[in-house]
Amino acid sequence: MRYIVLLLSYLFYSVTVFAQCTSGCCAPGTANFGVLEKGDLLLFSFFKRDYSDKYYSGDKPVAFSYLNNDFSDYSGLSLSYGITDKFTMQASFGYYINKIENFNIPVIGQQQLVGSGFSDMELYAKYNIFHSKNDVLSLTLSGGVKLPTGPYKLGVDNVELTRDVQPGTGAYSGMFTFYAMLKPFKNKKKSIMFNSRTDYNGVNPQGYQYGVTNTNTLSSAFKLYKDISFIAMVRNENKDCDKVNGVGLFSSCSSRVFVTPGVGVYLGHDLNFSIYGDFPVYQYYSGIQLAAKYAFSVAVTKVFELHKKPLPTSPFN
Amino acid sequence: MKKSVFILFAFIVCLTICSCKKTNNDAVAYGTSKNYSDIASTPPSTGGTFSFTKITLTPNPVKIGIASKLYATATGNNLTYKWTTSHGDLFGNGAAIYYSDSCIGTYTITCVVSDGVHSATITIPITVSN
Repeated sequence: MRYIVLLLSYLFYSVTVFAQCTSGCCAPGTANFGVLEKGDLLLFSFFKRDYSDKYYSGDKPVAFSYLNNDFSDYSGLSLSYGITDKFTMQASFGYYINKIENFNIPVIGQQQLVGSGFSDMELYAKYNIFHSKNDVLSLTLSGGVKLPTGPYKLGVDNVELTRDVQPGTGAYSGMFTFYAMLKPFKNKKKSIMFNSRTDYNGVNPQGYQYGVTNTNTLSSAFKLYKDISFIAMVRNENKDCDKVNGVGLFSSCSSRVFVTPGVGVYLGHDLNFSIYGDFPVYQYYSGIQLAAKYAFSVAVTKVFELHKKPLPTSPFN
Repeated sequence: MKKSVFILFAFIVCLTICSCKKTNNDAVAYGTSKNYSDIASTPPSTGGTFSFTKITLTPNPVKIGIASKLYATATGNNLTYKWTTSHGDLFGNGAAIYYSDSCIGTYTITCVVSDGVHSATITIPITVSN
């Protein structure tokens, strides 16, 4: 089972990073395999780059000059520990190396706003509610909280930076996840994973509230050559509108579909390296919003077996 | 096991190297990390030897995607100006700055002026429209 953990520990790509008339929200989280075996410690470390440079209205690109582009570089770390074979705790941390917006605004011309810092912290509890005897189906529920540990009102020279480049949200949030793994084939070496996560974001002290987000991901992995695997994911993200002091912000709702191809390399010793691309195939935005263009990420996953068990073999062997 | 630890270490080193910032040389950059400071919470308004009478916004209302100039009218010695907004983008510093937004709505802009002893706060509503 552990090779699946290694291969399909992936970035959740929680509705990307920028917020202001761009349908973004929070730092990327993770949505790895539901629960770990008792005594296993999973370390998931990743780097992610997001980039956007085009405005959309509805599902069509529109000519609107305000932001030339925005992008962020984020590095994250997630630690999961199997307390029992059915119950896993997870903590996720992250740091925005930078969040940059490049503007081109009439009157004042080209401007750049830059933020960086630690993002909010996430804590999860995951419980496996069903595992079939023949190992065909496994279902896991999880709940968690996001703690506003990241700065959300950074400024420079006494002028507050725009919300989009603040690394934290300033608000408590709750997350609920349903996870299903299906092994439809007799040899049990192919798995299909479904993950659905909903984030309920609280109001921050400035009166800003990100909309409820729901993300559904379908993923699987296929052997390419020896220890190299192709990882395929399709993801749908739906986001309600944000609110400012209780008033809805029309240009902040969205519905998007992404494909996320990836390649994973098993390096032995329960260590896996993965690289992913993230490309929108359908985007719908209320009002005019900056749309997602692409993201890519690299990740290293390592399982530390803190309870002695038989040595694992290479994936797909 | 040693190989695993080495690969993890190498990955972390790569992340650190990636932290070198890229900047747009043609743009005015605000907010490099060395200049960061948390915006202080708004101090209470007091009277005294200085005055802070108004904030002007030109043009008003704000047109979406177009910068409007904010000016804080205040008198006193060694004044500092702290600007915050409930939504949108602020550029510059001091008594005169620019505000712009790409999102239609009604928001607020707050300026706190202080001479180190006294301070005063003014919040104005702003409307961003087409």
